Amino acid sequence: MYRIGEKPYPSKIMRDKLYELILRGERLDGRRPYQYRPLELKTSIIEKTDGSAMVNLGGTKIVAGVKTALGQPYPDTPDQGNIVVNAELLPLASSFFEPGPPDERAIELARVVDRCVRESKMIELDKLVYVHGRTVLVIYIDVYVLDYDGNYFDPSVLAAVAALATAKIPLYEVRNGDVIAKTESRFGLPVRKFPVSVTVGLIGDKILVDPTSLEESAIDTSIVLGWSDDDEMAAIQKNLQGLIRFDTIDEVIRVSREKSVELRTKLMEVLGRVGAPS
Amino acid sequence: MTDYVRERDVVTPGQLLSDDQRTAGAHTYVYGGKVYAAVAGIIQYRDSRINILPSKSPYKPSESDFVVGIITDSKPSHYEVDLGWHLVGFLHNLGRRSRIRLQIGDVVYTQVKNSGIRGVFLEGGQKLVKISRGLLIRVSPVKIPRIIGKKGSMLNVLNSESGCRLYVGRNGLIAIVGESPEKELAVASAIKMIEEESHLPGLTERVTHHLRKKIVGGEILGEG
Amino acid sequence: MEKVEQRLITEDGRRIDGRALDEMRPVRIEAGVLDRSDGSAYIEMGKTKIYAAVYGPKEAHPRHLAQPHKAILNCRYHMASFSVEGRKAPGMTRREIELSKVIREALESIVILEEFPRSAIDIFIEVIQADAGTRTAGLTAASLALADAGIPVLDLCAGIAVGKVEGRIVLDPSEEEDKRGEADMPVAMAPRLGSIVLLQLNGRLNSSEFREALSLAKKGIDVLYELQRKALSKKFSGLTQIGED
Repeated sequence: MYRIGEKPYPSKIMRDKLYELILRGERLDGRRPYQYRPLELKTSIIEKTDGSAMVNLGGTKIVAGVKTALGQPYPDTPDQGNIVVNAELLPLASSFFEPGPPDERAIELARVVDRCVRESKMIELDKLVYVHGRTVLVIYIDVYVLDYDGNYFDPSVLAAVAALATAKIPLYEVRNGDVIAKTESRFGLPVRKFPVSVTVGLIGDKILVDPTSLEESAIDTSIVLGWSDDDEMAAIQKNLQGLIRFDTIDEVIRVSREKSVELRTKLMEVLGRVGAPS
Repeated sequence: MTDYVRERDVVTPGQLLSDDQRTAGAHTYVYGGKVYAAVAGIIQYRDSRINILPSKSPYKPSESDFVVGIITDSKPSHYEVDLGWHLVGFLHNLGRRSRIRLQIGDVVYTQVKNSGIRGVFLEGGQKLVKISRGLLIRVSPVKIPRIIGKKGSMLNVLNSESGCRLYVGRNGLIAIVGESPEKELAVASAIKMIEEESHLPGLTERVTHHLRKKIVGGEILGEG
Repeated sequence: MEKVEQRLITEDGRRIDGRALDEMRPVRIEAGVLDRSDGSAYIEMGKTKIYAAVYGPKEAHPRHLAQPHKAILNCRYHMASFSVEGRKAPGMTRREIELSKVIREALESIVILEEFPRSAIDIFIEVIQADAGTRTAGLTAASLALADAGIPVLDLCAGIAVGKVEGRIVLDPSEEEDKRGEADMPVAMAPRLGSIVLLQLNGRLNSSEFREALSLAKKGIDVLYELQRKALSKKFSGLTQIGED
């Protein structure tokens, strides 16, 4: 007979404690289960980018920068601009991160951010084509995790979206087949949607949002849901090992949707103040 | 008490076996007070417990198992012994008075003293045998009980028909030590036969016949 | 650019390859197909063809990665360079690294890792032809390969993709439907545990579409699960008598 589910000492007692608190509607840091940590969002903080943002979500700090350049479209999308997302978990952010090329977690983060932006159709990429099949705008989004206390997905999506929404690019003109930048006048990107992601942690039959790194070590598993607007999801990623019970799924969807509306409202407040396109 | 399976049923992982957790036997697990299968295999009741006999299974050492291993490292206080699986066996230095001298690459036959979270510790005393020649083969550890047979009956046949001495490790390594390579190879092929046909009746007779044909009959009729 | 694209779903609810909306492609599943490995499996779903092999439990390398209380799982999902239209660069792409991670995490949720402390279990998934649904088919094969190796698991797990194509939810999208559809959602479940082990979404779905997609996936997974069980049971067929020890 096999013994199952025996976790080592530190996370077993933490799991029991977290579950005990959740049953009482509480958490280790005093939050309620469905409550986010304080969110701060600033845009246009790096002058040498076309757009940038910094997000603090509790103890997790993310900076995102957008740069654009002219380039060739991908062969399968000759009539669309390109998005290239890169993410790095910097060693200064946590002892869990190590120097070196992006590991699987960093690659996963970049690809989840990419899916939220791309699949929500946030940017009208077909408006960024200058010469069909030859010259399009390439948007590089670089996300850096500077300080890590759990849940790097949601603040990274917020930072990337805020940086994109406030980015200013040169006006390009096509003369005799050549594309020329008129740097004196800069314009915003054609933005249509404001995707946000919500990370939900599962523990037994209970759920919580925005787990800290301590909570991440104690929960059974977690799932990231990217909402492109109040009604539609654009990306999902089950993250971490562990099981999601069928009977928790409806609550996961309901809560994540509610929280996505809340996060988007905060995002729009900040973007509204800096005069982003609506 | 309700069981959902009978003797010799084929089960697959996750299958509910019983509502009574006291029946949980080999290769099962208990969840919410019920017993489920953790591997695919055939149901075997023993002492009112439900056991599953898989066709393959990784070796899991337990106390007093006899094992065959290969010395892979020599440290100031101990030797490390490769048991063919994930766990390294530790063998304390035998001391100056021991008549056995061990080197990296030597094959030993001994008993597991204890096995736990700290590793697998092997007996270094009287029970240790250094095997200095012979044929080493590897079989699936789940087949070892069949190769030994009831009260060692199969082992007796292998030994008496060939004259070879066999060191059978629960970890799946077997050392065959005989007078000639032909005899050793005959035993190895008989063991392969046991591995493949362990579920068919009349195995002992067929093994005896096989060995006699191979050894007594010399090189006969181009069969296997 | 002027070419008019053919509709993916006809008036009477058929797909371009003739399937109904809730119909999966023909499937073939086999266990124990590669002799050197400790456990292996092969799966075909339409033109998708995948091998999976398991090695171990064995010593963890490098040794400092070993965990004192359980085995570690290593998983490599890889596509052969000839498996796609054109030629894929032979090394691991970012997509393959991500998929290796989500597949590994799915398997970590079902393997009884505590049984083999300080060891490593290696899982290799090699896609020799890719025609949509490779991560879920790869996971289905890997789960079977683990069971074939006799490694204890809580349940088998199987996976399938569901898609949204021209506003309709379809089971097991083809490559064409995946490319031109509005959403692709790979799902894997451990049915007897009543749990999801892998879930991703690429594209847009509202919550009621999501629920429909999930229950359609469950339907496909139940079929795959039965095929996995059959493939495993086959190893024991004809074993009418089990010897005594």
